[in-house]
Amino acid sequence: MKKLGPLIISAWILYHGFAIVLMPSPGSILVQNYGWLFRGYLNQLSMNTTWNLFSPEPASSMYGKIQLISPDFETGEQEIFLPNSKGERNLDPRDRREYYQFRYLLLDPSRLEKFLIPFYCKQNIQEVWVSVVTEKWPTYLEAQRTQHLEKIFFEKSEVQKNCESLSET
Amino acid sequence: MKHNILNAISFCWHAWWNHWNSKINESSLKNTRIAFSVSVFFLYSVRFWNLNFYNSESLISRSQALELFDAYQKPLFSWNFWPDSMALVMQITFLVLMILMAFGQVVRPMVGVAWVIHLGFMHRNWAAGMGVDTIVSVFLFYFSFCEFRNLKAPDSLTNVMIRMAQVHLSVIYFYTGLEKLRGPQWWEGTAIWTALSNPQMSSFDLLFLKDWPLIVGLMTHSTVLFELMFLPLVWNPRTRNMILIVGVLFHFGTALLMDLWAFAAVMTSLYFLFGSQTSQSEPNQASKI
Repeated sequence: MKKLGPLIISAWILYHGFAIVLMPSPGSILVQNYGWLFRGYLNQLSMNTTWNLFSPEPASSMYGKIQLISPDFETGEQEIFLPNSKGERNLDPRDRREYYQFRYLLLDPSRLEKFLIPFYCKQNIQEVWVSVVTEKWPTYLEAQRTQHLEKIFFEKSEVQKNCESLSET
Repeated sequence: MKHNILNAISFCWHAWWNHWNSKINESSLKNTRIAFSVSVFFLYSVRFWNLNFYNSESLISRSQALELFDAYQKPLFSWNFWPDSMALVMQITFLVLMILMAFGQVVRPMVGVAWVIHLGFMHRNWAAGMGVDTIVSVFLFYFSFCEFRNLKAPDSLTNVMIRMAQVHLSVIYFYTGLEKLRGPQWWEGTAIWTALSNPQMSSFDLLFLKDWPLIVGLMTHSTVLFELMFLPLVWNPRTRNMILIVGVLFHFGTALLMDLWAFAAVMTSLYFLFGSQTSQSEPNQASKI
């Protein structure tokens, strides 16, 4: 029994060690073929992640522009931004999670359709339009060549949904 | 011949087990425990203002919570075992456990409970999770197997878990460096400009860096170099203190310029893991990592 403890722990060390070293590289042929051995285990521990902090490139500023259409509004239309601060600097730690939440949702239109739009449709809204706005400064090499820096804006209309059609489905 | 093979196996086994079962010294274990739990306490104190991400007001309903995961990362079941109405109670319980951990008044199952609560919050709303949440979940897992009350004579399980935590921290740094090598801006030496010119990421208006290519280039390249070199240098007793000091400066810089104070506090609290260790079979030889 005294020997069994170290043996069991050693077996776990090997298994867990391989898992944490291999799985952050999902493109690896080893993960493609043998990842199934570790995926469920690491997923349950929330350790299956790629550690791509600020990579391959640091992200640009991003926010969502949401247009809500309802007969209840005086103008019939209301525009909100997610997060509220749009692309501006906001050092309030209480707003950090809001920024992360909306960024995660905005990165994938299917998440907008599944989570964001139903959330607004529950609030007596007829129609929801979601656009994703990306703001960025020129790259460093471009910035060095210009006298006056100007922000570059991209607005991409992602999802438009009629809430009635949503309730029918 | 058979005798030689058995001797070789026995030698390898003892070398292996002694490596994993090396005893961390008392002060290192104590400092890790205090620094980590205090950092996590302050990080999650802010969550009192964010409980609407984890209760019935959340944009993500409880029944949909697991659907938010990418298929690649989706857990089999959610650790969020409590109803939404209990979010405040679980938040307070978690913070109390962190206070007890800071004072060394926890046994293994109590840190295990803290880990489950932490994962429960993460699984309740994966979208609202930050990088530091993942780091905390990794190391709370290891610490939930550590005996923090008997620091003078930690048992084998504690020693192994501390060793695995050291390995994992090194792996994290190494991968963050490797991932950066996939980005052209990190090779060009301009990625720090992109990060610091983004107001959603930076603490100050740093657009003046446009005229300081030396600073931008040095900061970008030294970031990658530090992350890649952490693993080889921290495992060498001669270079360990040097790379840990560089790490503290690096994280202080990111905290100051990018408002990543909580992340910096949690990461640097883990540096205490690399205090001197003694092999169980050679009690007089310190720093045997």
